[in-house]
Amino acid sequence: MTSLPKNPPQKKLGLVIDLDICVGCHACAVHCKEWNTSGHSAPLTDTDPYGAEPSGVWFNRVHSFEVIGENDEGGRTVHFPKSCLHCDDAPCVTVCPTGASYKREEDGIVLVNADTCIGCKLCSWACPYGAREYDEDAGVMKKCTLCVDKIYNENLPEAERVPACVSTCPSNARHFGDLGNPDSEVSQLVAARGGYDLMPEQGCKPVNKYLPPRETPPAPAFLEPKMDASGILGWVDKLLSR
Amino acid sequence: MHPAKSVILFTTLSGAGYGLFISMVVAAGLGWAEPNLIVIGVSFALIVSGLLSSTLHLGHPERAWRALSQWRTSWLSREGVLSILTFIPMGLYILTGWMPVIGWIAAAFSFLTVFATAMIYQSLKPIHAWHNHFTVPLYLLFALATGCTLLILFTGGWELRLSAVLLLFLADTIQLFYWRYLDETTSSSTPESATGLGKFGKVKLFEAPHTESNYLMQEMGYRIGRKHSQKLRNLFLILYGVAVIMIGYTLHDGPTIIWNIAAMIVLTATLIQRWLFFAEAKHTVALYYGADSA
Repeated sequence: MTSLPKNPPQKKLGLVIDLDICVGCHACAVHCKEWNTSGHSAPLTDTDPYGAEPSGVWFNRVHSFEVIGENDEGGRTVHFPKSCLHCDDAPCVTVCPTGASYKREEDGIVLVNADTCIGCKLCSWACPYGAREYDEDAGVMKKCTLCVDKIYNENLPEAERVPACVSTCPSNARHFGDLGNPDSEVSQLVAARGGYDLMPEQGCKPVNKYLPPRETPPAPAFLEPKMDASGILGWVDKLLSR
Repeated sequence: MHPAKSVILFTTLSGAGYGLFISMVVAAGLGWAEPNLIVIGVSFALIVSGLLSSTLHLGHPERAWRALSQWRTSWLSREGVLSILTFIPMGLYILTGWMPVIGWIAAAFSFLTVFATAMIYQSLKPIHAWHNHFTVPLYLLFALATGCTLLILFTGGWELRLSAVLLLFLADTIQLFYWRYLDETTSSSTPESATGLGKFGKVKLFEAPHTESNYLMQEMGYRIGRKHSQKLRNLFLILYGVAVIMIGYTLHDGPTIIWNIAAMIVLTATLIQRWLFFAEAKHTVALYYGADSA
């Protein structure tokens, strides 16, 4: 069914991404590709991988943005990983003509059934965030599964039952949990740090949240050369300045 | 948006086919023309070739039947269901020897099918150029205008030709207003809202995720079509103007060849209009890839 679940999911699994901490190393994107190319939506096909125009299916991508304050001051670079936000009101689900695209009632994860997808690409048009990835080779749409084949995998030690992007992040900028439960660690983090939705005006009610970079005083515009030499350096300076 | 040839052909051809059928039923109702098998045949051929070409852009055309299942939520599914249902009263119209009531029912279903096609686009919020109140009237008007222009090739008198002129003129006018709207407005989504970093200042892409292109950039971030949009807009306006003058001049009588040429011109111009509808549309995804507005 492409209708959204009749009973809105109580449990909302999702990610909280800390833009203050992310260093833009792309490890999350690489591990995502590595895990998922043999997972639920395998393979993540690449076309022309060693040629002039390599392209491929990625569920997670890291963009880097430059933010320039008023009067060109307070500029900062923000690394910005983006994957499916597993929206409450996911338009990619309701536009699907076949029922291949669906949102799970038990945990809110949005998935695609590759056996019934006709590859019409309408879901990728309906998603404002660009979370959908078309596999030219398989002729079906693919997307972030929130590592549904990892987070419930009882063959893995419990600590490893988190999405690949989360377990691999070297700076701990990615958090995974139940955003439907206000007492969960991730919800507490969102509350404490002012976590926000991307493009709230699109009305999709994304589950994933982003934590803003912390406010830091802008760096002084220019560093002056140090002129007040003293001690031996001062003596040499005096000698040579004659 | 990437202007897929199959979708441009589909919306133009099937629109013209449905428009031709509706025009015929209305003209018959007003006593301007007699319903005839050739017109139905042509409209049928246009609709079917449009539907077939629309399945060409699917990754799995053999699964197309599945698209009929989700009519509760999906306009694409509704369009599929309506397009098939329309064939029933259309067929009955022929079998009952042009019973007017059945003709009107078939015309209503044709109208609804074109409406559903337009709603597929109008319902997509991330695309500012489509998510507005021009999309549905434009699709309906262009279907009727192209259909009516085709109908004068086969039947009818000056009333029908005058209707074609008026429909073409109306479609043209609304199109001009649409382009003005497109030039003067942008999506409420910005690079700042897309990243949530607006409170720190102006947001610019510093580094894209890849050195090369990807599906999102090719499908949603397509820009080549926009490069020539002003020239194509002018070409469309000139062609529609020429067609209006040609039919207007031969309102009372004229050589059929004039109407043949006018119909070809109108179809070509409508293909240009449809190409621009896709090529000029920007998607919010582009905001993550360096676009400053959507």
